[in-house]
Order: sequence, then structure tokens, then C-alpha cells
Amino acid sequence: MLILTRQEKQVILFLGAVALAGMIISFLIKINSRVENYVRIDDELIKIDLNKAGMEEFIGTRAVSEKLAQKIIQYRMEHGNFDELQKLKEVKGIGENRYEKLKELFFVE
Amino acid sequence: MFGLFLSLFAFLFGALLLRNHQILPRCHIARQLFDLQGKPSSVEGVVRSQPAYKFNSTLLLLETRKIESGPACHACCGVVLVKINGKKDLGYGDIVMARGNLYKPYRNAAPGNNSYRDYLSRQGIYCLMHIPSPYHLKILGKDNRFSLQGFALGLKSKVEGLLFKYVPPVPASILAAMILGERKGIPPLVNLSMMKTGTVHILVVSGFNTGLVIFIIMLLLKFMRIPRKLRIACAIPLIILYCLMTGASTPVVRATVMSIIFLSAYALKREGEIYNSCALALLFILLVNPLRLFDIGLQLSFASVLAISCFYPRLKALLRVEALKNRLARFLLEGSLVSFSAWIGTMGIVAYYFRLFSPVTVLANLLIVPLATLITFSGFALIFVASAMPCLAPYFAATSEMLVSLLLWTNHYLLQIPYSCFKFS
Repeated sequence: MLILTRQEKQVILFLGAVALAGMIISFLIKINSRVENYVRIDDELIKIDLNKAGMEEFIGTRAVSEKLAQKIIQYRMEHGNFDELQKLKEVKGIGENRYEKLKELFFVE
Repeated sequence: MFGLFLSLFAFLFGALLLRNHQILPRCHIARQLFDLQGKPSSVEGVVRSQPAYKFNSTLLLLETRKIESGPACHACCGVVLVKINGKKDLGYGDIVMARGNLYKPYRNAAPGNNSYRDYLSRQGIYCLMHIPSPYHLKILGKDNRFSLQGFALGLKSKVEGLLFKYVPPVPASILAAMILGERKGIPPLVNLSMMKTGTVHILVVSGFNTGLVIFIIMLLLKFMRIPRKLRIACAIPLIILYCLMTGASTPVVRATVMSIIFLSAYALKREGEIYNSCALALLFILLVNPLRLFDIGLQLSFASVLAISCFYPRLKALLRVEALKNRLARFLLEGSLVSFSAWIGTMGIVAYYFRLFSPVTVLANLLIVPLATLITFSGFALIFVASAMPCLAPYFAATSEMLVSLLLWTNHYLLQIPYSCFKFS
């Protein structure tokens, strides 16, 4: 008979708990898709809403200068909210390379 | 008198070592930049890092061997940071011929900040190379000599592959950062928001992760009923391998050296002494690269360890934590005191370099560090299960994903607290 120490038992219990929790989460997602909203990571957590960001938030990303932030806000005032992220390329100063960097930081709801 | 002379000798030796390190050898490619700057050059070398592809560019470190510019061709040495426009499939150890422009990193920096040139020079990089397209880089062969670094990076790629196979990209990138020190996939805003709450250290492989790896290794070896001294003898090379896998950053090297000292003390039935082992780890790091003394990572890593060692026992005694009967209250208070001690030790450094002051740090660490512990444990469990029993991996992945989501939500709500973070110029 295998004699387990206290630590070994705790590890086995932990692994069992993780597997069981994962099974429960997978089961809940299958029977009710709304559960996925609590498990999956929202854009709100990892990106900034392009249509709600102010000057401070743009500059705070460190990828947007004050001048570029002003241009984006100016564009928003003139053309209304961005309906898709691609429209950022229409802002003066945002080329393909810069757009590739900015699309990691912003989302459009 | 002996102590005074020894200290003076150590100081002079250190100063000379630093100065010597700043003088590049004659063959170093950076010494030839004066003639080459702006002119296209061909450089032959060996890839000495895992190439990273981001924002339509491939970045890698190239250990140079030969340089050709016009009719001239001669041997050279030194490492160059290469940026290729576009994606190029390369691996560690590939021998390549790259054609592009060589130049020195720019020096501009805001007052009080380190410049990009200083940051790169501390890593032994004095020269950059820009390659306009992947067609300007040819693979000539492979350096087939066995290299521990190469083996460690290969293992790291496999483990990273396992994480991204079962977990969506964002939580997988956070797991990869916490377990493997691979931060390239972390969304920039996650990094920034965690910096504001003073919890960004959980995204960096450090002493905590190294301690966890040692615990897992020792436990696995104990499962196999291996005797204690042999367990320690097996654990030490595995810890060194883990250190190389995670990029051998300063906090990991510090933790690895200190762990080896403590494990050796345990094997020899002697007591480890934290200040001596800290000093030995610092000595080791600075002997290899004295410029690391100015590295923010080194300063923060040692400051937090020393602050915890110094302040935590005193605060614990002052507040009579041991006298608390309630285990939960004692656990919470001890956790708070560790965070508070680390915060006191690093507050000045963070304020100086990042212009941030986060009063919410202690509360944030109290909530986020236990979550980070669970995530790291479940991440390691996922890697182990995905290798041994892939059919169970999706369940472990679901739990890891949920825990990462909980971590990000907690951090998000902590930032909503009024006066959680101050930024000053």
C-alpha cells in the first residue's frame, strides 16, 4: 500500500479540485452560454473603448502622443464615433504600422 | 583593519570590472559603426535568442562572426539586435547572413529616465540592424553544437505551445508570462493597469516562481521516493535549466542563486542566511555583468527581498501577530505585512523610475498574490497534465482561464477605487 505524506495528499487534492472545477465550468458553459461571459476575458479588461477614451487615457497607453490623441478626438468630433477599428487609418498620422500597434490597445463596441 | 582593506579592494575591483566591461574589444561590431553607419552591410552570425514576431516585425539577437561592407570583409564579435520587416522563420542556433543597415540605438530619454541605449548596453547590446525584408536574410546552416541555452529555449517553445493549444490567447499569454517569463503576448493595457496597482511583479518570473518550481521538483522526486540529498542534487540542475528557460532575468538569477545556497545548506544540515545569500547572488550577477547594477529589475528585486527580510519580522513582532488565535486573521495580517514591507522597500524606486505612487498596492497584493499563486499552480498542473494525459487538459485549461479572468476583473475594480494611483511628473 502506498503511504502518502500530508504534502502529497494536498497536491493530489489540489489537482483533483482543479480538474473538477474545470469540468463544472465546461458543463455550465455547454448548458448555458451566458456563463461564458464570466469566464472569457472581455475586451473591456484588456483594451480601451476607442469611442469613450479621453486625452488622458490615450496618452496613458504610451503608444499615442498628445498630438495624435488630439487628432483622434478631433476626428471623433467631426465624423462621429468610430463604427469599426479600421477607421483609425483615416486619422492623419496613423499608417499601417501604427495601426497594427494601436489595434492591440483599442476596441470598438 | 582587515575588513576595511577587504572592502576597499572589493570596491576597487568592482569599479575596474565595471570600467573594463564598458570598454568593448577591438573586434566588436559597435566599434566599426563609425565607418558603417548608414551604409548597407552584410553580417554573418548565429541567432542567439528565440526570434519574436510582433507588429509585422521579427526581432532577434545575432552573435556576429563576420562583416562585409563593400569590398572589405573581416571577422567581428559582439551581439546585434536585428529587426526584420516581415516574418522570418528562424530558430536559436541558425547561422545566417543578414544584409541591412547598422546603427547605434538612440540616446534620447526624458530627464530621470534611462535611455534606450543605456537599457540595451546593460544587456550587452550596443548595435542595432534594420533589415528591410525577410529576403535580405539567408539561412546558411545550423550551429549543431549542444548548448544548454538552446535546449532550454527548445523546451520553453514546447511548453508555450502546450499552453496556447488549450487556452485562448490572452489568458495563455498571461500564463506564459507567469510560468515561462514570456511577456511578448501580454496586452499592453494589462501591463499598464497592473503597474498602477503595484501588482505587475506577478507577471514577471521571480523568486516566487522559482520557489514554486523547487517545491514541485522536490515533491515529484519525493513521490519517486528518492533520498533527500539525491533529490537536492537533481533539483539544482533543473532549477538552472528553469532559469535559462525563463530568459535568465535578474530576479530569476537572484532567486536561483539564493535557492541553490539554501538547498545546499539544507543538504549540509546548516542554516541558510538570507543577507549573505542575497549578497552572494548580487556578487554573482555583477561579476557576469557589472552594468546590471543600474538595471531597474535588479534594484527592485533586491530592494523587495531585503525590505521583506528587514521589516516583516519587526512588524510581525510589533503587532504581535503570533498571538492571534484566529488562523484566517493571522494569515491575512501576515500577507498584508509582507506586501507592506515590500511596498516600503520599493516605493522610492517605483516613484523615481515610473513616476507612480500606488496606495492601493497593499490591498491589491493581498487579493491578487493568492490568485496569482493559484494561477501559477494550475498553469504548472495544466502543463503536466497536457504532457501526460491530454484528454484531461481542457478541464485544467478551463480552470486556469477562469482564474486569469478573475485576476483581471479584480485588478480592474481595484483601479476604480478613488485615489488608488497617483502619477506625477
